[in-house]
Amino acid sequence: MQNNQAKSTEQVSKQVKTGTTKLVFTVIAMFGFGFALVPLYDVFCDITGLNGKTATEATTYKADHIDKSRLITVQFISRTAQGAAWQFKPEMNSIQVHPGEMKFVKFYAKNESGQHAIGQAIPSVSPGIAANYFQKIECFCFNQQPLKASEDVWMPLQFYVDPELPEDINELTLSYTLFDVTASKDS
Amino acid sequence: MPFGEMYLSLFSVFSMLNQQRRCLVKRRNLGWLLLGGLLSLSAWASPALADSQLNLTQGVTDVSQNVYELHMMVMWICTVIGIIVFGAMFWSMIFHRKSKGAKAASFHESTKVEVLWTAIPIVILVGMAWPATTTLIEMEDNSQSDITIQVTGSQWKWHYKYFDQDIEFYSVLSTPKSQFDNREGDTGEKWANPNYLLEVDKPLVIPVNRKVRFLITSDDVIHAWWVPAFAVKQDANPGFINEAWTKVNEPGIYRGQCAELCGKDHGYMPIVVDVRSEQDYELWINEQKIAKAEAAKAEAQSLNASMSMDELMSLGETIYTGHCAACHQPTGLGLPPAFPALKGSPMATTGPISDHINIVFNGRAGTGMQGYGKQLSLKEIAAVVTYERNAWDNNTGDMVQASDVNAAAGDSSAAPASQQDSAPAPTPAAPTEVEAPTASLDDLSMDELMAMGEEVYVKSCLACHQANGAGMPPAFPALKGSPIALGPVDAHIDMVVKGKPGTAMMGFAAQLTPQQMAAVITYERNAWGNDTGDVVQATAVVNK
Amino acid sequence: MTTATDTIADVHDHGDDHHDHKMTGIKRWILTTNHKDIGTLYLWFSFIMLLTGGAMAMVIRAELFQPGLQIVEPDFFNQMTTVHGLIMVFGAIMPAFTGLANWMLPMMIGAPDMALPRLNNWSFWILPFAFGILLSSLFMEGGGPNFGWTFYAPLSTTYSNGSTAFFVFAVHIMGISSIMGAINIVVTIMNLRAPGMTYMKMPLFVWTFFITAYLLIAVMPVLAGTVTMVLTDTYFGTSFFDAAGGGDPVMFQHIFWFFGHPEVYIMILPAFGIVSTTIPAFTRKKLFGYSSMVYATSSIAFLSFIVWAHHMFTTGMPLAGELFFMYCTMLIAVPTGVKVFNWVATMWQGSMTFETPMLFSIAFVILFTIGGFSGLMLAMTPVDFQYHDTYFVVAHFHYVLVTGSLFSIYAAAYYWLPKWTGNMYSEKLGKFHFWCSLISVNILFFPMHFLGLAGMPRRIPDYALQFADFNKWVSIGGFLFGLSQLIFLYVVIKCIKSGEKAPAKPWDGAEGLEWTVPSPAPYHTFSTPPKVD
Repeated sequence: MQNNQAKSTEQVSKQVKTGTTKLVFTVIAMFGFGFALVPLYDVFCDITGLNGKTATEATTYKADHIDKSRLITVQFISRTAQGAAWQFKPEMNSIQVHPGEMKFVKFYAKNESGQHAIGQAIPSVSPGIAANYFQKIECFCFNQQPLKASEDVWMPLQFYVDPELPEDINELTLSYTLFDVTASKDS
Repeated sequence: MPFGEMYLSLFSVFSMLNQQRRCLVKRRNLGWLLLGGLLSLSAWASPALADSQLNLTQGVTDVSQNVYELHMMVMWICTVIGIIVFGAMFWSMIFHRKSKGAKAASFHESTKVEVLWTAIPIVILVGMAWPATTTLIEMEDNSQSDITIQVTGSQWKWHYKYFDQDIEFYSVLSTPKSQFDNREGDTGEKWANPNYLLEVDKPLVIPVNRKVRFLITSDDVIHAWWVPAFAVKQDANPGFINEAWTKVNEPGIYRGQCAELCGKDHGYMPIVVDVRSEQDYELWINEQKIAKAEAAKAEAQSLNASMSMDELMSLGETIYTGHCAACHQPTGLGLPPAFPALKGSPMATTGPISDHINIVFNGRAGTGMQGYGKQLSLKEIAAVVTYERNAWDNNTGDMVQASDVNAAAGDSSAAPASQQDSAPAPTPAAPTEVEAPTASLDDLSMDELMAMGEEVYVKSCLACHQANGAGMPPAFPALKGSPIALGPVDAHIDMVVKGKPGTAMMGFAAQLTPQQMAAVITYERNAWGNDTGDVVQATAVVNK
Repeated sequence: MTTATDTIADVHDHGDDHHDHKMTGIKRWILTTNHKDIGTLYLWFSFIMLLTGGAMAMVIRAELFQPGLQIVEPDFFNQMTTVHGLIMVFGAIMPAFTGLANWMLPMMIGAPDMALPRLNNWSFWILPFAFGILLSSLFMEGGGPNFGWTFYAPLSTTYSNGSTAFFVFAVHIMGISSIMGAINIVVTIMNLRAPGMTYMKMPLFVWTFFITAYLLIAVMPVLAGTVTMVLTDTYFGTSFFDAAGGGDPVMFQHIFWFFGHPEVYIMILPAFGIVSTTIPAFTRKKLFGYSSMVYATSSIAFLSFIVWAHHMFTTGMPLAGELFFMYCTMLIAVPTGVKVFNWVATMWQGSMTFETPMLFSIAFVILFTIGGFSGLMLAMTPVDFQYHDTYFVVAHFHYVLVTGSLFSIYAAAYYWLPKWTGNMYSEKLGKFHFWCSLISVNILFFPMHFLGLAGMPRRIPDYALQFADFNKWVSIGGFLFGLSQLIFLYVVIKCIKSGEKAPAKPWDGAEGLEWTVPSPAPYHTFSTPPKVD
């Protein structure tokens, strides 16, 4: 790099070609990295609880004790997305739980669209950091809900709050948005 | 605004600038002019002018006050650094110029100086980061709130829902279009409206001195809920919730706007928060409940009432102008392809009326078309559908009544307000309850047990074990053909009465009467082809 | 001979037939592989784009001249803000820098041309098509992109007006063009330096382009990935950014700003290089702290990769995230401060004259620093909750990009115009251009700070009455600034057509190999490498 006095044009040409090839590979790698950011983001969210994404698969009960000294309020919010002609609500607005204690809550859904429809509920927990401590043993959000016209269903949610939940959190909100995914499933 | 007024305002700012400069500057020099400009900036930022429109608001919460102080601190630090750096620059520009015979020095590096001006900024930055961190920690502490309000943004309005109060409403810009759409001439009305573009039909009402938590989300694109006086700005992300909180110190009306580009009418979705004393807030809550009951009554009446074509068309036009014209345009031509034309469209002419009602009522997934079922009454939807099918030469002659809307949209027979009856109204923190328990221990016949058992099963067991008894394994095992339901009766009773620790199966002793438990056990042992023939009576459950 | 990756050596070996007599007419410009021709093409193209994007800014300012909708409807207003942003970033500032790099880099390092001349031709000539596609979408049913230049999902996916495909393809082509240009810059600097020119002897201008090119190579592909995801979300049923399908709209912002923040530095680092060239020239004194300038530039480039989320404080980040990004962002003030201090130290005890390039450079240092101050204010997370998405942010990035990047490009253009055209530009007109620009640009952007602090959100076509007075000022400043740029066009045309003949080195304090060749620079320079001591 100090001195290219003695380089012939062939040498320069060769170096330029090697350099270019390396850079082209860098570009391709970075293009791939752009897409790799999608799973990386999910991992990042899992670790930090960014955006309140909860696990999409069932967990098993792992808490080693029930912390009777704390009482956490869990609020439930249910919403239907645009175009989803469903009735969707929890059986209760909120529930008090001790960390480590298993709770069971039902959500009511009814297809009012007059035709067969498939619903998918998307959960979100706030504060986001609590998402990591909100453990779902069973949740209707793990599956899609196919309902015939006018059919209704009570859907289960079984969860516990991890006793490791940071001390400063004593209220958390679980929101479900129900999307009508019939179109994307049928096509 | 007339041009005369404009020049007046130009002149006033100019003279303001001049006053600032006159005392400082005598020479016509770029440097002094700029320095003067900088100083006039700092004068603008002085406390006397803090509440003017030239600076950040101090707001009405402790947090907004802290944010304001932080802002002033950084601004002063920047001003001081600016004066030193620009001062040195202008000094050398004035004195080290060639026309004055300055000879260039030859120095071009000094490790000492360079280390110094790397280290000093770091110290200053730490000094700034400290208070910023403490304020931020305070802002992010959403715990221990008194009231929770769910804020939902949609194109282009806000929806507020009071948690535990059963109060919800939309909040829409109330400035008339004639004031802001001046493309066909300006009447100048807006100048008489002090709250131009910052007013809504129904403001959010919150009490003073109470910690109010906002759960913010969106129905379509990203919006941002911003009230400068509270120093609250949070994005509303579709499918996710964000939290923010405020505790307002002074009653009053505070205004803000959507702060994230959300499409065409992003500039027309203001936020108004009416902060009231605690008593006035309670009064307001009661008023809302009464109003809600009356609205439900009116809705029920509208089902039987029939409106004439003229009534429908005139109401329809009003609704259309208020809710639909922004996208589908007053001409019905829309703004294709995002906002399709209604004029001559199959949906509004030849297509079935029920489909038309359905789209208006429920919206259409993946498009800008939101559902108006929650925003408009049945009567209003009927009117607007009628209007769309007959305006702009669509002339179908179709008339739609509230009862048609009710029939087509929800397929249940009740109005939306009473549709909620088909599901139990949410009750705070109450476990599933089944009717008033009867203490009867009388023996029942198999048929009676099976009938009662099915009823209990549907209410208490079905969510997990499913209507067909197949459950949702592994968390919720099947009952159909299961060892529990086919094995010893005692074990089955035990399971229902006490539950099974470590699983979702709870004990139902506190929730069901012995007779109900007996019935449901009988049911489970005989339904879905289990057919054990076992008949379990209430006494058996009690004796257990 | 036929592939785009033919190197300079290949082209020269076989290119002797047209070595000394260049082609004439339009064919010369379409087929040229000469770095000076391509540099000229880039510079003219970027100026045309500046006027195009500027015209859109005029529409925006005309609509905002007073409250109410006077001229355009809100959707078209959004198309104007979006396309204005895209054109200024990808069409005006970036190609202008690439043009400068093409013209000056080979001459500054003593190379005969760019290392990959054919690729060079290609990377320019796909640009007009990119912007042709983008601009043509404005005339289609539904209009052009209306979701802001940041194209946040789902506004740009599910809720777009049908322009997304055109937008995506245009950005892809712009990206490919930038990437090819950047590859060319890197291999040129690495392989074609004159004997004796070590890395630490390179002019700072070369250094900043070297680092910028690396940034481009690292982040433009990420942008390409982002727009591809937007494309498939919109038309092929994927749901990267759609919550219903398990995606997340906030993830879009993370990926976009992972590109977007380094992009900001791509638009300012070359400007640092330019003023580090012009200030010593007109101060007649060596640049103070050359090596600390190199390190500061590199550390800014590095930091640019770990601060992206400061654009997203209000999206609902956890506290720890907010703190991390706040601290990193504040840290950028340190190397940036070092640069400003070094420029001031360069001026200190110099022997200054104030020709037009120097005036633009001084204005750059001051006004960019003001933009830096507002940047520091924006870095403070708690206060950012108030500033975010208001006109305060608009003021901030226009101070950095207009009085920063654009002013530095003007400084460069005036500085090298004699070398490019062989004629001196009219100093009187140049100064007139400067003063008109300086005054109007401050009338244009300074009041935006106040608008933002008073609570005016950005990207709105209409506003509350308390914002009326300042908006009028801003609009007047905008029209004046727009008109002032036509003076520059006149200066350049006049300079090409007539003007006093320029000597090889018109600035007595200037240093560098480019001043050792005659003015105008011959079509081929440094066919035999010069020797640098």
